Amino acid sequence: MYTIENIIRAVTRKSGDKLNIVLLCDNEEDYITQLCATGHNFFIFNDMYDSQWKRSVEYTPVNLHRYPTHIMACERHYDFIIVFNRIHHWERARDLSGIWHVPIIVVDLASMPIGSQHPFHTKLVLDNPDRLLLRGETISVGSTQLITDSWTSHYSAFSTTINLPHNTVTRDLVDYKNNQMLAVDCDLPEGYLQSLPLNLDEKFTPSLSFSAFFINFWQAITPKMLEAMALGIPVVTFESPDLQELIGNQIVLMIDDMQLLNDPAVVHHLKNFDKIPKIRDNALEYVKQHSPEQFTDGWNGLFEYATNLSYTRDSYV
Amino acid sequence: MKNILYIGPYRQSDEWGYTSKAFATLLAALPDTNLVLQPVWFTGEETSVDVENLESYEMNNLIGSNDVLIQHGLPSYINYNGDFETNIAVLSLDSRIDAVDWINHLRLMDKVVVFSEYEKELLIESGLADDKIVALQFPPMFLMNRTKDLALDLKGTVFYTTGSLDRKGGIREIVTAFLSTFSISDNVHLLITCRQSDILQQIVTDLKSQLGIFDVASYYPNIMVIDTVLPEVINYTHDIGDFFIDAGYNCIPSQNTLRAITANSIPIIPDNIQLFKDYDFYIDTYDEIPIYGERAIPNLWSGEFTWKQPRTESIRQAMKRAVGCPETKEKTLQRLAAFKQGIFAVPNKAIKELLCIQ
Repeated sequence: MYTIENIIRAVTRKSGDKLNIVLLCDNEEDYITQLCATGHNFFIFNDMYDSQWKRSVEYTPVNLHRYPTHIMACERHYDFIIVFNRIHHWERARDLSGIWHVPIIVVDLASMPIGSQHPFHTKLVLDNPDRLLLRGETISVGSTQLITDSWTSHYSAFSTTINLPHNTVTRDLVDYKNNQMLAVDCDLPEGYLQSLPLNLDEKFTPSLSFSAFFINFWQAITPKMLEAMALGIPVVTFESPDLQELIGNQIVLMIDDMQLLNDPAVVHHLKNFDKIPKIRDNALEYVKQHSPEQFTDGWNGLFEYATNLSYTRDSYV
Repeated sequence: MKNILYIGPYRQSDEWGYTSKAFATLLAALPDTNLVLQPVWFTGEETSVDVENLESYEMNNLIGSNDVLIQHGLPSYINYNGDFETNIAVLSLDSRIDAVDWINHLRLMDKVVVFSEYEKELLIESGLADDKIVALQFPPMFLMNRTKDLALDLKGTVFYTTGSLDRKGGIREIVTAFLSTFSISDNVHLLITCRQSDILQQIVTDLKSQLGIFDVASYYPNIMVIDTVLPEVINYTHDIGDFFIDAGYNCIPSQNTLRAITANSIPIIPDNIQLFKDYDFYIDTYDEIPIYGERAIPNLWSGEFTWKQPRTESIRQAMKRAVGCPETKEKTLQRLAAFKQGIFAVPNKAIKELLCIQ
């Protein structure tokens, strides 16, 4: 039985043992790849929308082709569940935690403060407390001080809130070459940006390195954005209060008019922007604070802390 | 110094939980051991019982050798773990388990602890080796608080019981026996604590009309229903009651049976519990095939096995003895007083022998 195995494992675990960690997430592949650098074993639920999962609580290892490193054969006992801030994952994590008797680590990657109105965001989770039942000790992990503060003030049931470095750069980066193209990270309809000379190549890093600017449509600090910064490519975002608070306009270029991007002259317009050299330097400094070493050390520290948690199912929301 | 890891449902708020808590308390009292407790929940319930005296043991880690692993719970949850020198299973059961694969979970274990001789027989019938099975005297767990809100002044003999209204609880048998044995002139009372008093009242009314012994309903003896199962109220009923009736299908004494003994009440219990030899207040039981829609464990409920169900007639006999034979009552009270002396010491000694601790 998984439950007993998990409990025995939690009590007899030696420091330095590899941990088995289940991730509940939709589309955080970049982040999982980065997590693999910590050297532990990670497992994700392969078929997220299959209704059969509850009957045979069965998790499969992640696709070996996509994550070639540090993925071991599936063992039947786990140490934690890491859940990202989607409400349906919360519910699954709660159920699994009850069956497996393992603590939950809640990660808030999206770089939006609590006040934002995003359909799947933290605020929704917090506004529906009856849908949540935290069993055992739960750690919340935020990517910025702003988020960790918000979680703590809203959610007293969290025993600990830890601020970890955000996404980091893990890809091999090629040299920066100036170009007239734009690299874009977005899920907008293609027609929206039709008039621009866009670089939407699937092989992202080479295409990025031939770009003059990187446009980030997400209201978040994404790995791609950090990679662009590391290449010395200025990042363009739209001006929003959230991003202003998170990163500020000294590190990225913020433009307030979305329609600007439908103007083919935008590249020319941006190139003549006199703040660009300073922003490029600031961005390079910013990326240094998000080095892979710091990221890995931060998570390993968290895992070490989490291994000392006991599962007593005392905290409820 | 022995390293012991105990995994049990001691934070559950049901009878399994109380038994497990009692067992864990026994373990905590052992000398020269390093005990680590870990709770497990088998039911879907969402409560976590406070365990003030045991909480410090949960924080420990098992450092050094892995000597003893004790798993307490349903047989299907119990698994042998090769990292430990000794594997012990603690469980309760009410029928044979050889048709389901539960018995295979137990075959590898070094010792299997049950709480009555009847359960030991069931395990032997199911195919487990005799020398592996230890029938331990049931460990007690006492809650000392009593309610002060109730002030019942009952003259005469008071029978009392507590429990659920489902068929396994035996409440219909008790009420039928009581109504058909006594009338209002006999100066006896039946006190029932349960959760759904309105349903119970309906059951009592129905039984009265079905029995039809007396023409007028008010000639039936007095039945009182208290709509709560709070421990302090049940403890109060132990104080004012004379005979505690447990007619459930369980093969182990409930914690309330032991509490009744310590409160100088006489328990009327099914004979398969086998707390004593030649006890005067046993209820005869018969084998019943347990088939009623429990599809969760198909093989177990298929009619191959039986469990013990108390005979109503036997409850009547015990009730008659309780009221009509003061000598038997006196003799039994003396026996129970002797039993009370060793209510902690006997299981404590047995568990030391089990774990080879001096």
